[in-house]
Amino acid sequence: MARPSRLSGAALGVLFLAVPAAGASLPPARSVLVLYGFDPFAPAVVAFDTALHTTLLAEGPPEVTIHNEVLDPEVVGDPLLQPKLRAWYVVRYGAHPPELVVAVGEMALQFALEGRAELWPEAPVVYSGVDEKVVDRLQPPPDVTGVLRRPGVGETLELALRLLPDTRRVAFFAGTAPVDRAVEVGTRAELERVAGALELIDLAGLPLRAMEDRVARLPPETIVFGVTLFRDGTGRSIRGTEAVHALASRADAPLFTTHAHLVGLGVLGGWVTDYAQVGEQTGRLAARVLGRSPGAALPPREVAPIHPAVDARQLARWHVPESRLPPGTEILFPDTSLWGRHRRTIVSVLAVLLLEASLIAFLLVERRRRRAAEAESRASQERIAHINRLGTIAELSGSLAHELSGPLGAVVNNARAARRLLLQDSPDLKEVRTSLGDIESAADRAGQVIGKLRSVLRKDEFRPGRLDLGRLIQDAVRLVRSEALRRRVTVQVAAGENVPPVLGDEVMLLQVLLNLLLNALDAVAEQPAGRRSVAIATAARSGAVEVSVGDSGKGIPATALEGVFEPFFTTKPHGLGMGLAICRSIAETHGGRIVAENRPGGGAVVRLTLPAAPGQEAAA
Amino acid sequence: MIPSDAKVFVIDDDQAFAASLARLLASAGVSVETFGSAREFLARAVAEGPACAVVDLRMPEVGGLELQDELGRSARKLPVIFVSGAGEISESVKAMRKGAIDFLTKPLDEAHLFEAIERGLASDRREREERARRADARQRLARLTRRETQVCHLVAQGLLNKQVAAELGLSEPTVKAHRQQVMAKLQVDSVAALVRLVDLAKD
Repeated sequence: MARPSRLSGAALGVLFLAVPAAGASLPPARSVLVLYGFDPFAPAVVAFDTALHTTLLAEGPPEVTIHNEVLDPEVVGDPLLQPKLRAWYVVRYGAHPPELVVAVGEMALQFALEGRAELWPEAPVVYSGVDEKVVDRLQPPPDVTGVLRRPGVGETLELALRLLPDTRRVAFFAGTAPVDRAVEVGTRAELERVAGALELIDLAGLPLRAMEDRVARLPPETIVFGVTLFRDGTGRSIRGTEAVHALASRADAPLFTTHAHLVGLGVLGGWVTDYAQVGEQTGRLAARVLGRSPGAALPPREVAPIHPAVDARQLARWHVPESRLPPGTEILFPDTSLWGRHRRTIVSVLAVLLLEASLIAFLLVERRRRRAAEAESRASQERIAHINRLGTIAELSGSLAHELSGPLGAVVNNARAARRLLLQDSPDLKEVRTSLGDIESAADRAGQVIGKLRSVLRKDEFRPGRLDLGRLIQDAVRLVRSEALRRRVTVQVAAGENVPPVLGDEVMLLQVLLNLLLNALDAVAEQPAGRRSVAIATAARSGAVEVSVGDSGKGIPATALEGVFEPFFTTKPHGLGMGLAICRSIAETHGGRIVAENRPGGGAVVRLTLPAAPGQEAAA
Repeated sequence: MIPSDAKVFVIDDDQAFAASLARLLASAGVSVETFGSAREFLARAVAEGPACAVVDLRMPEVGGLELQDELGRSARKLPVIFVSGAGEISESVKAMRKGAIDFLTKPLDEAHLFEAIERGLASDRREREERARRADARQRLARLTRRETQVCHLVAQGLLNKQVAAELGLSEPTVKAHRQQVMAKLQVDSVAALVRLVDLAKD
């Protein structure tokens, strides 16, 4: 079976031979030969090649032609086949040897250097993707330059440990292809240097399926790392991104590697080589070599750049905060939604808004509660004041009945008298008129009493007006008059001179006066009949009016003087203790104050001070 | 019917009421006099014929009940009708126990008022008549000599002439003579009448 195959191969060779011959008639072109030591369809190689071509065509001489040759390691490594390959290259390029050879990878460089005397003795060599150590070992002549590969293994491992500080294990994978083996040596050295303290889970050389199974069952705090996997433990060539896809989809741990184009396929990241960039760099170097003046030295060798790159989605998956990324890290596949791009801003703004909203809501609720409490307090205060007024009225009911029955009795008497007079033969009309006049005034008097009573009973709001306190005191004294008579208490009224009016609520102040008078009546109750007296007086004070209600009682105990205006303070067996508290509340509502003290001659006096109504000083 | 010589005193510190009551009574032909306070009334009131007082229960200084006490202590026991603004039960009971004619509340019921006044005046008339009889009896008793007075009182106590004689150390005929003199001076024709007269004079 092998022989016919060889024959057909030779026939093919003849056919190929014919093509350059046809091309030989074309005008001689400056050609560049690119030798690849890798699978030409590997994504890295494709990216490299595209960038190399583009750059070389753009920056190199205009008439440049680029030839690509892919070296099969099995051919190059075969002592029988390699000479045939060289022979073929002689045939292929003998007539128009390349002006420059670009060798990509260690194997290509080695092949280019070993065969150059025979194949392209004049052509300088530009290598790329070759480790510095390899170059140093090969000791290339001066007309060889290139772009050194920088593995980035140590950097990647350091990055991995920086991003995942809890890492305790490294699962290491590597392939079995000669390239894989070559890379593995350097990688292991770096692993030992950087992550020597970590437990190594060695997956190198295993079949891909076995690797997949292993990475699917990794213990926690493990990272997966590897550089190349061109061939697995079964000897099968691994194409393209198959290995990464397979491992990333099964791995239960973050994956790190050094190839830029793999970030995005499930790899978290690493210090990566961007092969398009390297291709461009190599192309530029090659262009400079081509464009150099005759006899000039080649530009010095360069080092391919590497940079840290991560997949944002993987960062999120493994809960790696972006704050751990070293500066300048390329973040691939960032969340491009508004949320993703401005998450931090949005979160902070939302937090501030939420905080503000909560604060506002809290303040609104507080304000509502405070208003409700205030309203309730006001309402209950009004209710208490109202109850106090009702109590006052109840206490005064006898007195009030007396106050009303007097004028009503007068009305009735006068009316009957008038009727009798009119029934007489010669009525005394003058007397009848007087009767009617008296009826009117008595009815007015009753009406006034009722009006006052109604105003006291009415639950009303604070309605200030100009008030003559002297008149209000007369009203109050008249309301308690009968009660005072019943209790055999004399009530003396002393009006001060030039007492200005006050601005106040008539009903409220009447209530205060009634409370004070009734308290005073209570205070003297235990005194002997002849020594029960209450005195109410007004006096002008600077800008204010003082009403004092004194009594001839026993006075207020010194310990109680402070508390008499507090709610529920009472000395009466059935008192609520609200009377004086309401008095103080009303006094304060009027911008005034109320104090209680003992008189030197015995008994207590309560002084209510109210500001004078404005605009009265001049008149007073 | 209220006699024309009768007089009603109205004592009330509520002058409007007092005036109206006076006018009402006057319109009914009753002679009325008003006073603004108890003191004023006690100082100035004079009544020739039967009279009664309509008194406000509550007044400054001297109240209605105190006025009633005052009148009760005086010789002139004027009947009192109380009027009050409110029906104070405890005070009304007190007043009635002390002999008040009635206790009325303002506004006054007219019929009730006149009826009470009539009763008051009748009571006063009886009181006046009794007082007049007592004065007459005392006047007659005053005409007796000391011995006659002694005999009179013993006879009034129901003693026989013999017992009176023994009591006074007199002879029975002497006692008999004194006794006839007493009956003549006192203008009584029976021992029973003499006893009534002496009792009347005692009060």
